Amino acid sequence: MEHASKVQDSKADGNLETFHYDNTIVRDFTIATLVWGGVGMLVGLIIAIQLYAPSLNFGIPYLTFSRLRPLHTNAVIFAFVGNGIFLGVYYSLQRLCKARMFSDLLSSIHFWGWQLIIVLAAVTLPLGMTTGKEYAELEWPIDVLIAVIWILFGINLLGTILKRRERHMYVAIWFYIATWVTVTVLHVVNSLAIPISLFKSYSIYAGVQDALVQWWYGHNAVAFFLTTPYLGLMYYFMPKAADRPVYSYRLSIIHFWALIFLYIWAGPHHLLYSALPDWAQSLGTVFSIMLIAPSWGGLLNGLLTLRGAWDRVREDPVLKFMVVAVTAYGMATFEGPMLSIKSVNALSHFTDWTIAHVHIGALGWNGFLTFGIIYWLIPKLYNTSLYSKKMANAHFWISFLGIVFYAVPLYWAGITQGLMWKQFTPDGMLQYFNFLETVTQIIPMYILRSIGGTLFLTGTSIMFYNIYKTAKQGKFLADEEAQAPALAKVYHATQKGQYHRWLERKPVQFYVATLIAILIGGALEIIPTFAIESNVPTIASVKPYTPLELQGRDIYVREGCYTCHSQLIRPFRSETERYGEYSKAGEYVYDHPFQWGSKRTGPDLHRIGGKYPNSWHYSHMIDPSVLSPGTVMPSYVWLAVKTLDASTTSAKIKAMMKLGVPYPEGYEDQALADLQEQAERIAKDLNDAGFETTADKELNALIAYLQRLGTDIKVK
Amino acid sequence: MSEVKDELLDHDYDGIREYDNPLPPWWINMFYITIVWAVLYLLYFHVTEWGDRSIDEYKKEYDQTWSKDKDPNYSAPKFVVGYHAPYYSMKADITPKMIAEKMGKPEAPKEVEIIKDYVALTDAGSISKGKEMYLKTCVACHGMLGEGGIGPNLTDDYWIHGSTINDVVRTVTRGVPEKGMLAWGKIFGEEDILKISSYVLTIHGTNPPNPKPPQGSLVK
Ligand code: HEC
Ligand code: HEC
Repeated sequence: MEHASKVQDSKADGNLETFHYDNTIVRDFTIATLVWGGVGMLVGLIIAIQLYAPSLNFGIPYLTFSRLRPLHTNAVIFAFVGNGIFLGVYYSLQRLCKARMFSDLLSSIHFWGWQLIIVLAAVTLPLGMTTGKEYAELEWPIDVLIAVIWILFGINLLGTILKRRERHMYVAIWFYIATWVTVTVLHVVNSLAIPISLFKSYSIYAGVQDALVQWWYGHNAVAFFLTTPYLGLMYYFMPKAADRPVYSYRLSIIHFWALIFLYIWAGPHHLLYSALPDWAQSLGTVFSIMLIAPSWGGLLNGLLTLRGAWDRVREDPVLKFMVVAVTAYGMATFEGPMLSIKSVNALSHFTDWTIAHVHIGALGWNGFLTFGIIYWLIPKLYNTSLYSKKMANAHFWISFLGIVFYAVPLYWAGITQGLMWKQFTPDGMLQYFNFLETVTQIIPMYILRSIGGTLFLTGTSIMFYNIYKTAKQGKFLADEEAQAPALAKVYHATQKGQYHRWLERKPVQFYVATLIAILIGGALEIIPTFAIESNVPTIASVKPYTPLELQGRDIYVREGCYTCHSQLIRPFRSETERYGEYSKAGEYVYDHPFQWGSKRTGPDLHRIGGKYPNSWHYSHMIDPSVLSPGTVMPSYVWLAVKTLDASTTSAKIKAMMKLGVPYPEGYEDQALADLQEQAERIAKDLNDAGFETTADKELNALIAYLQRLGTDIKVK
Repeated sequence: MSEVKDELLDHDYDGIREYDNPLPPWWINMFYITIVWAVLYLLYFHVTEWGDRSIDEYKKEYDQTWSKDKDPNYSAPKFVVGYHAPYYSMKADITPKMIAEKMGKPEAPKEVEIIKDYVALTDAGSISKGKEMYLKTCVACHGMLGEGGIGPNLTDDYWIHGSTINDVVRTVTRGVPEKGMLAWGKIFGEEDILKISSYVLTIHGTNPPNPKPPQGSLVK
C-alpha cells in the first residue's frame, strides 16, 4: 500500500535495463586503503616513540619527527581515509544510482592518480619539501595534481549521478556532493602560492590572514574530508549491514543542511586568544556550539537506525565496529564544541588534549567505520563469507583497547601539562618555570600512548590477514550484474509541495545550493579580515626579514619546527611571564606562510630572538640534550654540515616583493651580498666562542632567523 | 506529530528504506538553545561590548579592579626575559669546551632541581651530618680530606662542574656516571645531598697534603 506511488513511478519509467556494477575499482581502493592505512599508522607509531626517544631519528633528517609528522597526518587523512572514502563512494554510488560509474577510464585515472599523489607525498615530505601549512603541506606541483585528479573524480561523480536510474538522490549522495564541492573550494583557495622553484613556494597570504585561511581550510578538511563523506558512507552501509530502515528522513534533511552551513564558519576556533581579531574568534566559538545538534543528528540517525537490531550488534563484528564508530563521532563532535569555548581552550590548546581529541575521531570514527565497511564489503565482492569472525572480533577488542590506551593517557598528559604551564606559586612566580619539567612529567603518558598505538596497529594487521584469507577463499566478482528500469524523461511528482524532494531530483540545483551554503560562512569571515585594515593594525617598527633570515625561515619551515613549537604568545600572565610580551597581529605581516603552530611540545619561540647567544643555539641545534638534559627535541646536526643554497636568494626576494613585502626597489640584486655579510658575522661570532664553522652553513641562516624572531617590537 | 510511528516512506534506495520519524524534541530544543546562546554571546561581547575581550581579560589578570571605563589606557606590565633553558647562564657564552664537558650527559632530571636555588647550610649540626656521610661514601674516591684520588680534588680552586652550592648539589645528585661518579640522588634524599654538598664547600681552600693536581677550570 505504501508502495503504491513507487509502483506508479516505475510504470512511468522505461523498460528494465541490465547493466553491471564496477567492482574492480572498489576492490582496488580497498587494497589501497588497507596498505596506506598500515603505512600511516606505522609512521604514527614511529613518531610517537620518537617523542620520548628523540635519538631514534639517528641523526637522519628524513627520519626526524618534524618531517615525519606531516607524513603521518597526510597519510592517515588523505591516503587511508581518502581511499576509504573512494572505496565507499564507488561502491554505494553505483548502487544508489542504479548505474555503472560514468567512465571506467576516469575511475582508473582517479585511482592511479591518487596513489601517485600519495607516493609523491611520501617522498617529498621526508625530503623537507613542504609549504609549512598544516594538513596542506604538499608543495604546489602536487597541489595542482590533486586539483586535477579531484576534478576528474568530480566529473565521474556528477556523470554517474546524471545517468542514474533512480529518480531521487539518497542522503548519502547529498553528503558526497557537499564533500566534493567544498573540498574543491578549500583546496584551491588555501593552496594559492607563488612558486620559487619546482619544490618551493610562498603562500600568497601572510600572518593573521594566512592563519585564518589555513584554519578555515584545516578545520573544514576535518569537516568535509573526515566527516561528511563518512556520514554519507554511514547512511549507506549502516542500514545495509543492519538491514533496518533509516530512522528519520526529516532528520537527514535538517542535519545535512545545518551541518554544511554551520561547519564552514567554525575554523577560527583553532585561533582563540590569538592575534586574530576578536570578532572572528567569537564567530568560531558560537558556530562551533551551534554545531552540536546538527552533528548529533547524524549520530541519532545512525544509532536509532539500529533499533531492533541491537541483539545482532552483540554478534556481528561489522555492526560492532559501526556502533563504536558512530559513538566516537558523537563524542568527538561534542568535545569539539567544548574545546571551542575560550576558557576551555585556554587550557587545552597547544597540549596533547587536542591530539587525543583528533584520535577519537581518526581511530574511532574514521578507522572503525572503515573497518566495519570493509568487513561487510569484501565478502560481498568475493561472493563468500568472512574467513574468520573470531579474528574480526579479536581485531575489534584489540583496537578498541588501543583507542583507550591511546586517548586516556593523552588526555591526562594534556590536562597535566596545561595546568603546569599555568600554575603560579603563592608568591606569584610560575611554579614550573622550567618548561622542560612540564615535558619530562608527561613522558610516561607518551609511553602508554605508544602502547595504545601498537595495539591499534596489531588489530589492523589481524584484519589484513583476515581480509586476505577471505579474498583467497572467494571468487572475485569484477562486474556485478544488476537490473533497473530506465528513467522516463518526464516525471510527474506524486506528492506536491515537497520542496526538498524536488531538489533531490535535480543534481545541478543541488550542487548550486550546496555551494551557496558553504560559501557564505567562509566569505563573511575571510573577506573582512583582508579588506578592513583595522583588523591587522600595522606596527611601524616591524621590518621585512633580511635575506639570511628569510633563508633561515625557510629552513625552519623545511624542518617542520612548527610541529613542536608555536610562535604565538597568548595574552595570559602565565605566557607573558614565561615567554615575553604577547604576540600582536602586526608582527606577522611578512610571514608567508605563518608559523603559529598548533602544538607546544617545546616552548613558544615567538620571542626567542636575543634570548641566547648564537653559540647556545649552535650547540643546542646540534644536540639539544647537552644543554637541556631530558629534552625530547631531536638533533638537527645536519644543519651544521650542509651548505646553504644561497642561489635562490634573489628569486625569493623577488617573490616576496610581488607579495607586497616592501624591500627597496632592486633589492634582489643586493640581497646576496647582504646575506653573505650577515652570515660572516654570525660565523665569526661562533668562531670567537670556539666553534669551528664557516659562513656558508645552513645553521647560520636558521640562527639568524631565530635571533630575529619577536625582536621588532621593543619592549622595555 | 511528535510520535515515533515508524511509518515507511515510499523511498527505496538499493533496498534501503526510510522512516520519517519526527525530530526528537530534546534534540531540536538543544539546537534552539545553542542558537539563542550564540546570539546572546555575540551581543554580549561585540554589539554591547559588555564582555571582556581577550586583552581586557589579560589586564584584569594583573589588576583585578581594572575596568575599561576606569582606565582605558592601562596596559599590563611587559616582560622581556622569560623562561631560559636549564643549563643557560646569562653571564657565560656557550663554548665547545663547555659542551665537551657537558657531553657526559647527565641523566634526565626527574624533578628538575637545577632551577631551585639552594642556600648552603652553615649550622654545625648539618655540617657534621654532612661530614659523616662524606666519610662513609665519598672518601674512597675523593680522599679523607677531599684531596682527591680517583675523583678530583674538592678543596682547590678548580672545578669541572661548577663551584656554587647549586652546581655541587647538581653534580652530586646526578653524578657523572661515565667517569665513575655515581648519581647519589638515587641513594640520598635531597636534604642529605644538601648537607653533604654544604660540607664539601666548607673544606674548600684547606690545602690538604698530597693534593691531586687541579682538574677543570679555575674559579675564583
Ligand atoms: C619533537 C619536538 C621538537 C621539535 C621537532 C623541535 N623542537 Fe625545539 N624544543 C623542543 C623542546 C621539548 C624544547 C625545550 C627543551 C630544550 O631546550 O631542548 C625545545 C627548545 C627549543 C629552543 C629553546 C627555546 C627556549 O626558549 O629555551 C629552540 C630555540 C628550539 N627548540 C628551536 C627549534 C627549531 C629551530 C626546531 C626545528 C629545526 C625545533 N626546535 C624542533 C622540542 C622540539
Ligand atoms: C667511585 C668514585 C667516586 C665516588 C664514590 C664519589 N665520587 Fe665524586 N667524582 C668522581 C669522579 C671520577 C669525578 C669527576 C667527574 C668528571 O670528571 O666529570 C667526581 C666529581 C665530583 C664532583 C665535581 C668536582 C668538580 O670538579 O666539579 C663533586 C662535587 C663530587 N664528585 C662530590 C662527591 C661526593 C659528595 C661524593 C659522596 C657522596 C662523591 N663525589 C663520591 C668519583 C667519585
